[in-house]
Amino acid sequence: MKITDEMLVAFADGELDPEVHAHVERAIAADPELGRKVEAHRRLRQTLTHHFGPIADEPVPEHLKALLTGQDLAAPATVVSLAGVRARRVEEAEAKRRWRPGWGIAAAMAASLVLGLAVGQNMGGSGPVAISGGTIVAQGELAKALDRQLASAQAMGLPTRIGLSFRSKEGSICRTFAGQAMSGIACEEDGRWRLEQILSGGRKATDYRQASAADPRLAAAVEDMIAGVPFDAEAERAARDADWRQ
Amino acid sequence: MAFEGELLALLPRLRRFAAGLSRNAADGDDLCQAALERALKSRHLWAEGTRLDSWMYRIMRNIWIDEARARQRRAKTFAPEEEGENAPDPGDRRIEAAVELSDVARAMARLPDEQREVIALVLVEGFAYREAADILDIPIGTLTSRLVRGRNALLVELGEAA
Repeated sequence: MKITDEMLVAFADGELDPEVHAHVERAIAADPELGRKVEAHRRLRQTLTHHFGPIADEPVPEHLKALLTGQDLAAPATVVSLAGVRARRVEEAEAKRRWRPGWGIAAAMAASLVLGLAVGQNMGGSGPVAISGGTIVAQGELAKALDRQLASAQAMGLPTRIGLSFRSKEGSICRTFAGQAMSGIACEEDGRWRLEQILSGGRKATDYRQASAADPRLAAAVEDMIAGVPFDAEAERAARDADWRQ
Repeated sequence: MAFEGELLALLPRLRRFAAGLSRNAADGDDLCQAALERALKSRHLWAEGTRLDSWMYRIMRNIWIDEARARQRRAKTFAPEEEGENAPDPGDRRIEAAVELSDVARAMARLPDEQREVIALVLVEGFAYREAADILDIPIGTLTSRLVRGRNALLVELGEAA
């Protein structure tokens, strides 16, 4: 019996009947290549479980709960269509996008505002940023996330999410991040993360929607800074293992 | 209220499925809401004693597919007005998408709908092949071939191909 991809996958998923299962088991024992494939499929299930799992552990948004607990009596009787709900969101997204032409000034304003807030609250404290030698650098949890977290292997629900890693035109390695108080771009410089761009209001930790909402302004900034293309998973890992040095 | 109570208990799992299905995770809760509303309206169609989770997954998936078709139709009918000078170029969109999504989410988003829903049901929601095939109303052979194609595509995309 030839071992097909279907059989290997079903083997990894525990879906084969005992007879075929035993057959595939013998084939794997004789051919390490088959074993590696099965292992890869098992890892894939873990990766996906790890990625999506935390959503089910989050608190359910109140407006969804209210639909079922009858506390939504004031809601209109007509069914809200998915298209309708979505149209609203598209409008909001477009409004954000129209910000773009003013990115430079707006970013400077936003940055100084956030810095005022973040630094003001955290003078000498344990906030996400610090001023060091005239430069704004990441510290604490944010610095740790920038140091260690791989975009290719991060669970949802972490306080800081890493987006892209890339090499800047100046030659340093930069990473985008979205945290609770702010999102932005940080570039490695002498063992520290210098903050290049900061936008206020990254996301709320419990709000899944916010967690993935890319800010078009951030994307535009990446485009201005990037040399070449963003790192893929392999390049990201390699860069981390080299401590983000060139 | 037994029906509502059971749905309430299912909600965390439904949100997870919606997030996997809807590509753009932001739409997950909208999809969830639409599915709950439809379920409440058609509760008389649910046969007591059968699995409510499978029934809900089916409802959600059908809403998603309807929506995807409608979107395709709209896209063919008229070009969005954004396609003028303000429209970001494709490279811009790519980076934007990449900033937004982690590698896993991006790899999932690239799968065709028919493969992504199979992956979400079997690998994330943990349904057996037979149960997933019933939810999707497809023969089990179709399910397994979509599953294999989807899995292989993800492995390549995530750099885990053996």
